[in-house]
Amino acid sequence: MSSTANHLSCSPGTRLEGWFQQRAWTVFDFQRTAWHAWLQGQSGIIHSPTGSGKTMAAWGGPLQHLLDNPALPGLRLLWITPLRALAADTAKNLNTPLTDLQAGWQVAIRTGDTSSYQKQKLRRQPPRALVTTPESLALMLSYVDAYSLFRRLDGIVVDEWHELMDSKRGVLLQLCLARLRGWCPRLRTWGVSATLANLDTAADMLLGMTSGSAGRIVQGMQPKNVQVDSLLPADIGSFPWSGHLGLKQLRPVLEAIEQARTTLLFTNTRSQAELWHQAIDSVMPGAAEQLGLHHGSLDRDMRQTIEQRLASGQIRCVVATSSLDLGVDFSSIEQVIQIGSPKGAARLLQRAGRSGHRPGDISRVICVPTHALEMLEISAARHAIEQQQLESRQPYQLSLDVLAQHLVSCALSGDDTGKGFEPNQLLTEIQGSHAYRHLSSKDWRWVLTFITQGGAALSAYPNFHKVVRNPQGRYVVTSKRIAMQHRMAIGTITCDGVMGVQFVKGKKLGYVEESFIARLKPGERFLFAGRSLELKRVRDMTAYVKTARGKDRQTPRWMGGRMPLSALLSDAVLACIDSYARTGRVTPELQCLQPLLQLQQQRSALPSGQHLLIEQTNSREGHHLYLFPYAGRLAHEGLAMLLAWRISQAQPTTFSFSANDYGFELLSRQRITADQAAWREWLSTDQLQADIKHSLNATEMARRHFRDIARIAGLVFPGRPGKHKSMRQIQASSGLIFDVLRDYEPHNRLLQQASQEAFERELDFNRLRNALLRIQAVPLRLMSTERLSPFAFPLWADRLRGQLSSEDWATRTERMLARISGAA
Amino acid sequence: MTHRADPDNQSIVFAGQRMTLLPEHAVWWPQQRRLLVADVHLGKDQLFRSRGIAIPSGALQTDLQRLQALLKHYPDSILTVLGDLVHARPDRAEPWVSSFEQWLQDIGPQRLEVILGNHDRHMASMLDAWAIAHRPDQSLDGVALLHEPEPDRQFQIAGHLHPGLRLKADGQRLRLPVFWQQPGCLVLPAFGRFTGLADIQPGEHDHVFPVQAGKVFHLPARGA
Repeated sequence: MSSTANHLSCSPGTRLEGWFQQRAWTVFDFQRTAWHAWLQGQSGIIHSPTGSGKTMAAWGGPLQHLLDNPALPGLRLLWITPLRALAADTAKNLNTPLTDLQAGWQVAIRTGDTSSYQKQKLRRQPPRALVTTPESLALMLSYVDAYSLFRRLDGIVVDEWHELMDSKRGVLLQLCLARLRGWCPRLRTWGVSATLANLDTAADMLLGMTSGSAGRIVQGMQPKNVQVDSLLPADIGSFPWSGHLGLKQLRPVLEAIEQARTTLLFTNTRSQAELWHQAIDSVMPGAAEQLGLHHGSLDRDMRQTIEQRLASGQIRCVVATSSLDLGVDFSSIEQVIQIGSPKGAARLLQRAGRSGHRPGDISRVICVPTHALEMLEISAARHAIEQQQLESRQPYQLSLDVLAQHLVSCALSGDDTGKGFEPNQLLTEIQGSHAYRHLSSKDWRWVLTFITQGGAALSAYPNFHKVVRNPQGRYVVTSKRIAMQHRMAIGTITCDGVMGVQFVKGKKLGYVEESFIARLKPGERFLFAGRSLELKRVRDMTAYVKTARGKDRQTPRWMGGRMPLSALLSDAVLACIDSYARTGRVTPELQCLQPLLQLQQQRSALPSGQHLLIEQTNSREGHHLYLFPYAGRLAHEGLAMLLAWRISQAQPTTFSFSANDYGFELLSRQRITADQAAWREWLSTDQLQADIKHSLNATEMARRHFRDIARIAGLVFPGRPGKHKSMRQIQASSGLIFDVLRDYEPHNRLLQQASQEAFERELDFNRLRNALLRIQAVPLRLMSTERLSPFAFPLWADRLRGQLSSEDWATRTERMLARISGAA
Repeated sequence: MTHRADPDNQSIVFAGQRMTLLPEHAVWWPQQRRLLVADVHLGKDQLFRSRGIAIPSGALQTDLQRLQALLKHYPDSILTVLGDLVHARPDRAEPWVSSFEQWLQDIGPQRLEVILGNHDRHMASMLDAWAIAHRPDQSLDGVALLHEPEPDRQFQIAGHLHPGLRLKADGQRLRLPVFWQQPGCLVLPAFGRFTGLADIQPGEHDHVFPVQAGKVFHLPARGA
């Protein structure tokens, strides 16, 4: 031992290095650097690819410190994991050196799955180190004893920090970190992150804006060598131009699976995973034993079984969604297959990294295009990864819903100066976080009013006493019932609108969207959890099912399944096409795609970044317009509606539209006649916000986004069947509350937040505007085509039938009713 | 006034009686000079507020004004509430109670009758004090007025369900409150502004009357 108790060692790791030696492991330089930094009291981010020893880099410092100072009292270290499913695995990894080195203590776990007995025990006898989730941390911080529990912390490690960055969970965690830093001024904060583009932002978010010295970034291993291959169709002539399932490639995929010991097969959506699992199951020999399915809607036990079999190499192939992007190390995985475009370079890299876990191994991923143009995206993704260009994670800012929740938690707990919080002190603390560094005093006052009076107008909220100001000027919660309600609702993960799926005999299978089950009648069949099921009955938010025989069944569609192509990858696709157009340079994918690109040039022109291609064509359906701005599906939907509205101002018309990642289609009965000048006007950025608000149902979009906000801000409570009878009287849907607020308190800041989030996140407003700005700088290329071009075809085939019109609601209702009666 | 054909209303014949479905979520039964509404849920927003949920007030005043306007439009009528007049039994001290009492004085308590709903369970003594007639159910001209529809009862008008219908066409979605006319049973939409909807699955012989933007629409039965 090189150090004495209560003294930070600067030559860390004699015991730790010894342990590495015992295991015949090498200590990497970046690990040693991270250990030193911790022992010197610094904070920072460890940035290294998956499976490169990040965990030990982050754990070594605190571990050595605690081994050297066995008498330190209280809870010393928090280890935050983004998924509670990972908590057990993480604790196991952290405990291994403790066991081997006979430390005499273990790391404890506290998540939503922890029993209340265990939770009580953890509060009475705090462990030295605790693995937990952001939500559980927020909950612990709402207890009266929070200060005494956490005040001795040496540090916090946030695992997979990049996963939390662009969600409100990340915002909640930033607030929790600010609180802990306020209590423990010398607290170290360390983030562990896989490859990430905006590292500085990641560091600011994690360390806060008050840490005088900027955070330290420990660069880990060089990114692993990643090899991106495509499973190219043998004959492009018969390969589909649109579609997203990709089952046409089943045979070659099966051959690839047979050639490797273990395969992880990623799909982009849960329904696609179900369908691929079913397809492989029907042709793969020994599938019953050798094939597994894993996605986020499956029951935890089923997922864990698959994870264990995968880890121990007992299974040949697992079909998975992003549920297996993270966490658990599966060193046994030999190959990764990605069905469909990954839609982002960072995601492809992350998924590729699930194979070849030993340092020095090459990570290999085979991409399977589901239609022709996806070959472009794969080629572009490879290029981006080679250039080490990855997407940035866009953090949330100034979310007043999360702030309101946090303030109630603070009012419930307290600190060394008393119960609840003192507003000025708390404001300083909160403004020290990245998410709220620009919090205005006006917004701050609004949130304080919201939790004390309910809303802006004093008289409008009689009898509202959620948080009260005590005679000392501190904000406290006095009602036990409100305290209980609030703690039940803590956290920001939305899980509303889902229904449990369970066999009549009792075994739980998982969750599907309530709206899907609502459309099924008892007796109807659907595909879920890799089985054919028949709905028996629905009771207490649970769909009871039995195994079904027979075909005609539906596959559930989950919300938010499809991701738009990332901006980075859109640009990379454009670059690919431009370079092909200029130099004829081809990758294997472009080589394969070449006949199609040539056909595109014959019928029209290549849509590129050097011009904006506008195709016009006629069919029996009417007049079609195709535009290709390459701004991603969400922005294209917005652009389609914007253009439809602007055009119909000049020439009264009703449009249908469709959009994909490359462009959009507008279909109208009347022919649109326009010269360059007219197009320039329709594509201008003048009056952009106002025109967009006119063109789409902004209220409906905001109402959808209000769902999360209402839950986070404590306006609705998640339905928990059977439990808490007293809650039943205060159940209301977020939509109803949205309407009541609009009627009686239209200036509520949470309504504004909902509009803004809808604009930014659902419409991708920034990308939309950037696309228009880019278009302003290039020529317009108007082409009349005889037949659909290969780029136009997928748009034509996928048309959403999103009718846009200036009809009033009564006429629309009549039409919807007519459609229903007509369909019967 | 009774048979004026208003394009925003829908006339139906139920149990051999002509009735008008009004966009105010009410039924006008001219023969009996009855106005029927269901599920007003007075004081629901107040309960939410006292439990720490920031719901603005205003719904109560709107609801009372809408009821008053109906009573004014149909003079000499009786308004029967088919259950759930209140959301929960209030304390006398609750602010909304005095607003309600004032309103009651204005319309005259004799114009109001209440069929007791599940939310009115403990309301009997309070309704007595307000001089509002109340009963568990009522039979008028062979038609049962009750709160919760009963499976094998002929000719009943009820509430309780807060029926709503999802509509979808051309990529647009609507969820509307409806009058739901099953054979022998008419269910009213909830009257209160701050009440939710429960989706219904209309049967083959059911007529559904969605209410939207001040107008009652008609979705005829499929198996007519």
